[in-house]
Amino acid sequence: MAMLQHYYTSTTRGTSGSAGFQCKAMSPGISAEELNILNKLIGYRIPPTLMDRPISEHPAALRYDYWGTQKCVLLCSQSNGSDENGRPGNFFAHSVITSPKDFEVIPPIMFYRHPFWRTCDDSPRLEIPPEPEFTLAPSMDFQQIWPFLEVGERRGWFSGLLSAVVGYEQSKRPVVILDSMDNIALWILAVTVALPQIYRTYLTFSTYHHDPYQAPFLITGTTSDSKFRFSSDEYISYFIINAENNRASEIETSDFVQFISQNFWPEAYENKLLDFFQLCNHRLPPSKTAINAKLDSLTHFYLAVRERRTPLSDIRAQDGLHSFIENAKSKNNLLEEDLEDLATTAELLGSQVMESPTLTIVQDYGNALRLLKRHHPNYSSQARNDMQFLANLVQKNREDIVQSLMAIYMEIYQQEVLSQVISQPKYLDFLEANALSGNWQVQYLIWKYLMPLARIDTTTKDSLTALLRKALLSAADLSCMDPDIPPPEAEQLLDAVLAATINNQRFLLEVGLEELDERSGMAYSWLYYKLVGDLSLAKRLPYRKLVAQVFPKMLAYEVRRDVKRTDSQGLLPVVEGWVGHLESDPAQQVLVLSQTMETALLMAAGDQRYRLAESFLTNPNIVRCLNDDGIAKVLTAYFSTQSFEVLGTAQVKLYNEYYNHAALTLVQQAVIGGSFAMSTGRFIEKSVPKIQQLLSRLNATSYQAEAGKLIVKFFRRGVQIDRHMEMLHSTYVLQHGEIFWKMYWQHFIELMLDHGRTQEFVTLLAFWFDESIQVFAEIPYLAQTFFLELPGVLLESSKDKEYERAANQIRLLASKHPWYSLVDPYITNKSKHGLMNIFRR
Amino acid sequence: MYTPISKITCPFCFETYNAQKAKFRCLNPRCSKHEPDSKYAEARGMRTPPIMGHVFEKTDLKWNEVLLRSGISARCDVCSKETSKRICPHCHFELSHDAGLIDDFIIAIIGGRNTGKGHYIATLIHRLENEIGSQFKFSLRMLGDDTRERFENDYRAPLFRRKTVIQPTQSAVIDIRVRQPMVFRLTIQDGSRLKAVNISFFDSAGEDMTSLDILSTEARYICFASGIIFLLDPLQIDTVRQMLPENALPTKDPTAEPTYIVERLRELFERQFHLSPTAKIKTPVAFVLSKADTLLPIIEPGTALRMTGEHFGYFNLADAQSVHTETLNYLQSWMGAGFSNRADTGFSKFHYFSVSSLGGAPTKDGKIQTISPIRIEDPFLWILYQLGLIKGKKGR
Repeated sequence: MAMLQHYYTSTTRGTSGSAGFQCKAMSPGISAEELNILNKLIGYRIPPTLMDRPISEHPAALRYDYWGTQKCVLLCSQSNGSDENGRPGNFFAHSVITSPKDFEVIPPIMFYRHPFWRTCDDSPRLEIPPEPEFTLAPSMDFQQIWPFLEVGERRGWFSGLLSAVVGYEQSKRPVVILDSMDNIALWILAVTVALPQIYRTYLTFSTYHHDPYQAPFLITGTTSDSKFRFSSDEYISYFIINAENNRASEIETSDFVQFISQNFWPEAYENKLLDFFQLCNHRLPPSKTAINAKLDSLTHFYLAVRERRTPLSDIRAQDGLHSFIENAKSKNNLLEEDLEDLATTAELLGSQVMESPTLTIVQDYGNALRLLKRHHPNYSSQARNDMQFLANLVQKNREDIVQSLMAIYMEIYQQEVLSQVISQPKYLDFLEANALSGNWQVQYLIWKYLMPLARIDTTTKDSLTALLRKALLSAADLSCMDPDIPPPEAEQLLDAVLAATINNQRFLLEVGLEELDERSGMAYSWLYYKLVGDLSLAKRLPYRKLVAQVFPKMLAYEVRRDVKRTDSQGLLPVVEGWVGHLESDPAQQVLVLSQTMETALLMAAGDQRYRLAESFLTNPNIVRCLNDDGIAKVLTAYFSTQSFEVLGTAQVKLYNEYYNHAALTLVQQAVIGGSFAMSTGRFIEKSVPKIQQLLSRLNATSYQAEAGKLIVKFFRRGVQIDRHMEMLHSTYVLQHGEIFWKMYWQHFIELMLDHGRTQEFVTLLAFWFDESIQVFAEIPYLAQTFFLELPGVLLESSKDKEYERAANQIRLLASKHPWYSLVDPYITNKSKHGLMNIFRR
Repeated sequence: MYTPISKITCPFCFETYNAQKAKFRCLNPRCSKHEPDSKYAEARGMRTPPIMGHVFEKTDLKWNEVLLRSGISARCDVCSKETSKRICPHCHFELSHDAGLIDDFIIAIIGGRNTGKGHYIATLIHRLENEIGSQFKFSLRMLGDDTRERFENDYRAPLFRRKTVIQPTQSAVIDIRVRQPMVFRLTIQDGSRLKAVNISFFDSAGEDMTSLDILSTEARYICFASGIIFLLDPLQIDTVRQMLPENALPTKDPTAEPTYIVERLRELFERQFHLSPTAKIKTPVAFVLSKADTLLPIIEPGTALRMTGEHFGYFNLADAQSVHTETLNYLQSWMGAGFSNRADTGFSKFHYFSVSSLGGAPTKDGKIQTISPIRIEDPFLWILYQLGLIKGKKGR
């Protein structure tokens, strides 16, 4: 746009046609709205204390205001004496409305006290011709600021001033400077040249204003006698430099300000700041929004990338690089300088990914690579470096980072390119050599993210085998409760191995297994079972064939794993399945299934285990496949109880069948014998002494419980003397004699008083009188105790109301027996010493 | 007595509202909520809202606060510090601390360019603070820092300390301060009791009288004034100019022509209040012939215009009537009947006065030897009398 001018003063020759303050002359093209704005900028009052001073001492108010990308105004209001009526206070405001581009090289403040600014216009002209542009040599020397800043507190105030200017959008704290008029201009000049050119245009100012409250400028200079009060709260709501009182507002400085302040010296300005400002002009958008944040961000970028002073561990440097990348993303074309920065940025970010990776850093790194790829057609050549970088990074054991990077590389390079790099034996060997075997996570990352791209062929097989071996060792090093079952971490690792070799499983089966030691062999078993576990038994055969020669125990492991992954309900079908599957190899069948029995039975607990063992023992196909050891394991599980139980028909058969099995212990046999007797009313051959031996080992309570079961059983209706005798043999234990007799007498009396069973009682009594002394000759004091206690028992039972009737019956049926006369007095209660009489005889 | 239903008319934007609607501005410099005041900026035509204290409303005015008149302060809803700075809810103009508690009167000082409005205000206030205050047993003091700073810097210091003429008042278009009043507290002894009122003086730039548009935007206060002091510069009257030596005359300024200004004044009221052409403006208007000292060579030796006013604690109606009649006669003889006819038909309460703020012409370089005002207080006292604030008597 053209440069337009406007004069305003109190005159009799102005555009109003009358006297007074008015527009003296102006260029055509200034709109009414612009005039309205201009009117609010040009006001001038002589500082009251300078009223009597010469005009030359009155402040010159150079003012700059930004009206948008196309227009700005630079004006100078100056005192020019009295009006036509002799009244003081007249002033002349000379305004220039022009393009902000006119001040790109020489900032507006440098026209302070320029002779261009008029203080009067005596000509009759009312119109000022427009000029093409504002082109004047500056009236201020930029170098003046260096000595100026060296005085007193000025360097510190300068930092504050710069902070206030760049932070104005957020803080809304206008700047008010109280200093000499020329110093105010120097303050404004200093802060102007401390800004990159793109932001200088927004730095509105007035070197002097009589009323800073009304002044619409970012920086306003004033005098101590102005309307401004410099109160305490104004030091907070404004940024104030009060040179007269040697005081300035407090303000938080930004990193940009610190950087500028540190380098705001003639040499550093030339060598560094101009370079930085050039960067700002090129990179930053021409907008007033968030200037502070943008400058801070670019400062961080500059310090990190150009100067390499701020390490990327500093979050601010990361932010700076992030902003740069985001900015570069939005541009279609990057300059050579940008690409150099981009390459450095990628390098720094890469180092930081290695040093202290975060997802944000990785994302930025990825974006930097994408940009380099976009602007560098030959960037694929970097794939080798990048994959080497990744190989190093996996050692850091950060899956999220590796995953993100891998996704980025896949996006930047073709999968084929990455596959070629990874499939280099050197690359694989590097991985193998650097991946610590004890670190399963590193192995996991290698197999999950890198190995899926590795080609498996003759050139890579050895390297891959070595890698696999290391992975197996890492898995085996993990602690596990059951060596058959891999711990969750090993599962994760082995899943990754399987996924990586999904298209080449044969590699896993033909890999150099013979070189695996016991530990890695265990892990290989886990891997193998992962491979075949879900296949039917028939489909597993070819796999097994490949590993069987090196791992002959793999079959047994397979069966165990099948069993171990099955619940107790499904165990029988699993075992039956394997019985059928191994039918063609009876030797293996017996060996493997017998070995499996213990595992299978351990999978069930309590009653379920008992039932499972029973189902095995009653299944002839299974029993047929079990060797002694196998049978023993099942029997041990089956006869694990230590108490006599009432048996069903099938159990009676099983108990009878396996009673004499060599694998059974004495206790198990005694339990079998006791349970059998309890259930059938008869004793298995040779079981009586075993039962007696078992009962003799029990404590009083257990003895009472178990012996009691047999005593009850053999007092039941239809007492048979020979079995009753066996019962007595098996249950009488001298050390538990008192308990025994208590239980025995109880049932003896019940039998006596049962009027329907008097004959059985008489028969039992006959046994005791006729045979017991002889039968129990070897059992200490059994018969003797019976006879010693019988009178007392009879006497005690005579109190029962049924006794009289029972006694009559006994007398009736037993009187013919020779021994009866011995007991009659006790049955009829006539002798007090019956037993003594018996022995007397 | 202040009550929640007391009305306040903002002396800046002239909106009228209940006193309880006034807002508060927190003055605590440590309050965390200093904020851009866009309403303040908008009312003043500022493009960038200044950062100012937090503005808040007092919502819980209790009955005892009404009775104890304590509703004129409030605790900031952010920092809890008490503030008594009340502001207009419409333009955020700082109200006097007792706005709504006592009566407010606006006095507009208007007139063409270079009629001496600034000097008139300066000497009037000086006289009121001193001699007139003693006579009428009233005191006058400035309210608020803005008034103090402005009156001291722009009026009292140049005139009474530096003995120079006052700088011309700049157009309100250029200087927003012109739109703000200078507020004074007038405390009058009325028998045994005191009566207090606030008097807001509006100075104006002669340039703003030259256009009805500017008058209606930048000088609206005229319409809301309780009294208008309308200064007329006799040195712009052609007949007078012909009778005085040329070197004593200022440049002729056609726009300062009093007839035009009084016509614009009438139009301003018609536009603001939709007055019918026949309705008269009820606001008391004092038409004041300023710079009366320059007329001494051309007026009768015994005229009342040469004498000082004699009021002695009341408004001397007889004296005022003499001045009115003589001034009117002189005006009619110099200007014809045009001006007085416009006053007669346009205003229901008006009075003519002749005054001199300085008592003599300043030197060519704007210096003032002595300040001897003539009848400077007459128009103001007449307005007070019209407002019922002082009593009047016909003679001693």
